[in-house]
Amino acid sequence: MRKQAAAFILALLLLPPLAGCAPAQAQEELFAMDTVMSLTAYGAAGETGLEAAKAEIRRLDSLLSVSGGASEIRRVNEAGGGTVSEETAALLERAAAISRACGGAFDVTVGPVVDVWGFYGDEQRVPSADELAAALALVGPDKLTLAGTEVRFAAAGVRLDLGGVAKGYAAGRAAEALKAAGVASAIMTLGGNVRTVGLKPDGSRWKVGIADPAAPQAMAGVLTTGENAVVTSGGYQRYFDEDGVRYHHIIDPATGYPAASGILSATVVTADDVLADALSTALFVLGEEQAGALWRSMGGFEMILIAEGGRIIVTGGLADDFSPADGYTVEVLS
Amino acid sequence: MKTKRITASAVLAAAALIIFAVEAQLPPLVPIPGIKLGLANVITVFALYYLGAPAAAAILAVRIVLGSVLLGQVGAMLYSAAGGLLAFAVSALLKRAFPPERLWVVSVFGAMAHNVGQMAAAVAVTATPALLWYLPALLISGIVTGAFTGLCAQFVYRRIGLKKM
Amino acid sequence: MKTRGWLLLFTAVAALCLLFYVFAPKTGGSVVGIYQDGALVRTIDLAAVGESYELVLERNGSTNTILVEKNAIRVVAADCPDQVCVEHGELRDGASPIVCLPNRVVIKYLRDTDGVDAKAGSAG
Repeated sequence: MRKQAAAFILALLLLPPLAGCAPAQAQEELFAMDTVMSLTAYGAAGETGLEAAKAEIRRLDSLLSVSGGASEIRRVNEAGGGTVSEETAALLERAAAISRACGGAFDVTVGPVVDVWGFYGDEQRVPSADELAAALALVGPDKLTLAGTEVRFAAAGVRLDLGGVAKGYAAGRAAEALKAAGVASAIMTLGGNVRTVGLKPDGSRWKVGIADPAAPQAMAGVLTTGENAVVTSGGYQRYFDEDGVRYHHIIDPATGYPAASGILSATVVTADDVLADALSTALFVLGEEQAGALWRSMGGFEMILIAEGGRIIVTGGLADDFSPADGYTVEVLS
Repeated sequence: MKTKRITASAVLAAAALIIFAVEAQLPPLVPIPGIKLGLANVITVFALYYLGAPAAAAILAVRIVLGSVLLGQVGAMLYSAAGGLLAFAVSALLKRAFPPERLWVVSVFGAMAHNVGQMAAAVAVTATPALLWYLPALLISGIVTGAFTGLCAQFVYRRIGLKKM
Repeated sequence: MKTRGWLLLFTAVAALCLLFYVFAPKTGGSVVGIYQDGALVRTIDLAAVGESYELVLERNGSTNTILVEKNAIRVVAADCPDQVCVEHGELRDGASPIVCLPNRVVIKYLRDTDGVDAKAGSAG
């Protein structure tokens, strides 16, 4: 009996390598698109899924960044126009459409102004009125023409900046890569963008915290959601101080100055990744009233606006899914 | 005689696997990692008295390995194995000192040893001694669950007969 | 020993274990991980820290000085231009790590994040 028992046990020990390791949860951290990203995938396909997702994010980072060596955007900016891949063209087309829909509050041609503020480099400073005027002259939906895959600029010096949609687009593509690899449940944080895939492994919905603009380490509230893109834009994310005044990185394309609409952060919730990313910037620039008007006229998304005075404005579709933290009051928009 | 033992071992191993798999479907009683009913141990401790140490060891090994593989938690197998090993060693040793009427006592010590073994593996692998904070809770859990499963095993043993195979 | 004897013994042990929790200081979940360039470089159990010490991480000539104290960790000095990591102060919850983008440093709790699966709107 003893020998048989020993033999049996030994035989069993051979099984695991054959079955393969199947961790319940795979997690990766990576730096891309100028921010820290955290990806978590559940299930047996988690690890392979994450490899695919990471590869896709890196590919897009390289393709769309303003400064990368292989970047189509950089090439087009330097040459003052040119041909881009179908993928980039499609993204530009979409960005331009959203730009028109929100009256230019979000604009991919805002590059020259961002540059003059120094947000592309290590030194930020307040530009002179002349510098700003010159830069603003290069901004606007009319400065960019897209004919198929041909990009044309209306003037020399026009610069594209896809920073407002790159993370959203990448999140969407990464999600597709995860699903293609067989992952049914995953959650990704790309800087301020959260993207979920499916539901949590136990079938419940995800709980996504919304950063508190006053204290970004804490949360202003928690959103319960299924598969969605949850993108938050806020001045508190990147800023510099000069002479006691705070200047943040979300430039209002109309004025050339950091948007001062009374909104501290705008969160967009929708399944449309690029829309979520672009709109979060646009709504922050537009402010409460115009954002509400846009929501009513356009639809296709829900939003959470954190305004001054501890007010959180939530659109009707999210009323039951959002719970504020202490010190905040919720107003439901209908 | 031998066939009977092998058959009994197989049946018990299958029973242990089923109990293990079913218990795994239940939501955790308490949000502390490592605390569970451990109902499959009813089989282990019963087999220890009914079939002897080697057979019980084989049944336990089957339950740990196949259980982890079937549930897709191969990563957790290391901790189960560490706990199971220590539990079995302690139980087998104590069995000599305790007659079947005190089967439940052996089960309690076994359960406590299981949790200690599992904790030791977890601390070693994750290099976080902070986990030891949970040890007293795991010991209480071991006493309670060990007594419960031990009584079940004792009950079964009394029913099936004190005749050792 | 009779059954009752064993019952009493085990009850006593269980009671002792319970007492441990009544008198022990609350910690649970005080392990932090320090990542650089996406790789975990240090794991520290903040509750087990005796004397406070400083940790210096370097990347391409740029440094972050991290102060590790009992139950607290924060970045006290950094070469990076935005100083977001220094301004973050002490690490509070798992969903908001201390991040230094230029030096690719991330410090976070290796435990549950206050019931939240992710946080939208992190600084950066």
